[in-house]
Amino acid sequence: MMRTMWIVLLTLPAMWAQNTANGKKLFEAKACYECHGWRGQGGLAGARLAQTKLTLQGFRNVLRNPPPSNMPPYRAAVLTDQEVADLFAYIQSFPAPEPAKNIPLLKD
Amino acid sequence: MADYEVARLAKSKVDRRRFLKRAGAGAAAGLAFAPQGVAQQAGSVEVTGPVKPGSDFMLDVIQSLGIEYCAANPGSSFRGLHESILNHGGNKNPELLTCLHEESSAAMAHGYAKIEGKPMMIMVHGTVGLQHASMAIYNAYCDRVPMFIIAGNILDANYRRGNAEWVHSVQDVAAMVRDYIKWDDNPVSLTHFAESAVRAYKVSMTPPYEPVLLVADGKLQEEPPEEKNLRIPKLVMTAPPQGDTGAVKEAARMLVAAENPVIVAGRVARSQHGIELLVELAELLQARVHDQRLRMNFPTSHPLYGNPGVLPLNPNVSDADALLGLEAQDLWNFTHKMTPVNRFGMESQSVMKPGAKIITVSAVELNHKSNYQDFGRYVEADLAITGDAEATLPALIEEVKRALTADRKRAIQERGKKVTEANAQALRQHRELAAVAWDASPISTARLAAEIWAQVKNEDWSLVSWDRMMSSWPTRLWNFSKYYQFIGTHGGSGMGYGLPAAVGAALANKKHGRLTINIQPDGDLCYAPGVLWTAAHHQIPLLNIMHNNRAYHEERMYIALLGAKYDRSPEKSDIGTALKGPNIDYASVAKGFGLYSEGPIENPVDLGPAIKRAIERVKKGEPVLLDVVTQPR
Repeated sequence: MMRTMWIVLLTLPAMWAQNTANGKKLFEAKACYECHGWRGQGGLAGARLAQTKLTLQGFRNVLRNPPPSNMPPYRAAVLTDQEVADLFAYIQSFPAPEPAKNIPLLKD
Repeated sequence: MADYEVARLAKSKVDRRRFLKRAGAGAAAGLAFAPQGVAQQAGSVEVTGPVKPGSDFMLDVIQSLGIEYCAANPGSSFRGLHESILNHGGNKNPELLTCLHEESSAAMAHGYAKIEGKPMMIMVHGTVGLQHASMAIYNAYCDRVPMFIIAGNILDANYRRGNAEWVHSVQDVAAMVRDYIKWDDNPVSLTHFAESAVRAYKVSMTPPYEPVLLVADGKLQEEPPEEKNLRIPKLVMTAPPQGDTGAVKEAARMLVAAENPVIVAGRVARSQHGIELLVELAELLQARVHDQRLRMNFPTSHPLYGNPGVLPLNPNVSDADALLGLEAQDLWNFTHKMTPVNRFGMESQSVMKPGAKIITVSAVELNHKSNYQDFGRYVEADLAITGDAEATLPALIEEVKRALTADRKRAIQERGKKVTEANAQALRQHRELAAVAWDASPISTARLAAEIWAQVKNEDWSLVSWDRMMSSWPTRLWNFSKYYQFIGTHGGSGMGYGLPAAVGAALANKKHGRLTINIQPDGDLCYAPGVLWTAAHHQIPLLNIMHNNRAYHEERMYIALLGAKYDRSPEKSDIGTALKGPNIDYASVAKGFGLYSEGPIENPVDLGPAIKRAIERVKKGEPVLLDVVTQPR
């Protein structure tokens, strides 16, 4: 029992890292980047995902039952709850952008 | 005129001699028809005197129309005209443009016409050439663009010399494209050709502009004229149709009475004057303008520009109590919402306020056809005005001025302020959104647009490609104000339009000294890349920057969407849609066709300097290509 607990505690950070890495794989395999961009920047074809204000539950709700749009429904048969969590972890890892005022080409 | 008379006399002499020789040979062989060798002998009769072929007269007619260029992939069925262009016309007006595919010829004419405001001529075989060109002709038709098509054919079976001329001959040349051209004819004499050519030009250039087709019969081209007193009819252009005076007055009354009128502009402006008229109307009404970006209709920096940040083809007009559609495309789609693709079935409902009025002004209703469905769903307008929008705008503006009272003017100014503030806020949002993924590789489409803009904004520039496939970032970040700075899209959604249309538009821009920019999707380029050689050969300055996202992404999105609807994973959706394994090396492709090129460029830091180097080459008169590896949208 004690040994099992140690294993769980030692592997916990690695499990989180694996989840993000799996989320990255899913982001490509499930074609998320097609509409939302490789960094989740969004565009006319899909909403911005980077720096999302959604919670994991809200994110899952949108995936399972998207609003009327061209967003495919990703139900459990296509994306399990664990995979949704992995995907969410990856999306949350997108770096925050510089403010436009700090980018010379976007100043005026 | 005297030349044609001499030619006619010489021709009659030839025919008598040919007849005598053929008759003698046929009798000697005891056959009902002359064998090939004898026919060749008959064809070898030497002609003395100043004989000219009929194609010289055809060319004189074409020259009288002021046509500058003729794009063609060479074909035996129009070899007479080809020869006349070179030797009778001195290869000027029209100048022959060597094309490697008939689809390129037609799409070049498409792009040229949208800049120059008049048709380019193309020449095609009546059968195989027209078949190649047909999709690009359909695009031009849907995009309401003039085009002067000459199709070669040999109608007289007795005049066909061998199998090639049989398989290149057809009873009714225009049949295969008649559903998507405005007018055609099959002249049987040079007089007939002259009259029909002038008529064709006039029909093509009367709104709604559309392609027209004229058959140039091989025998008429190659033999000396038989007709006396050949003459070229006078061309008098038709004044564009203007909306009915009473209806225009009623439209003005409805717009002035509305609390929130909104204008949807499709293919309105043909010129700077057209843009100015639309600005004047919008400012009088303080109405926001949703530009569908099918032409350059309205300045994107104008406070009343109505669609920053939204998909230009689907603006939100649900707050309007009066909607004015000016040459709008698929207006029904704006006023209704439908069941999206990620749901089952199809239901629709209006998004308009109860009692909202819909007014339409369009010349397209003058030329509806049945088979192809480009006309869109029936619009239940409250007032439908048949007439060209640009031609109708002056009268509408005057009627709006008359209808405006002091009270209405005050109310109108207030709503204008709201639109102005919304626009300023949208512009700030665009810049913040453009900053996301700024350093990403593949390069974001926002970064691509911003890097190009930084290099061209102080030039006299012309963007000749559609930008929806890159999330409309140029529309959102650049300052468009002149009619040649944006020319809309393909019209019929037929892929392969982009590159040749850009070459044609660049040719039209060349004499004006404008810097032409084409942001070129990779899939579109692969249809007929040979037009790169045409650009190099004819020294057409053009800055091609690849939007190389290595897939047909829209189609992949649809596959993913439909699969997910039935709980199928989208993981295989790249099969049949991705352009990878191997990656296509567009810089090498361009180099092979004789262009200066760079790429693939994958680091956004490298982009600005590469664009700068490319512009220096373009300014020297060259076409160039930069291959930029980009994000999907």
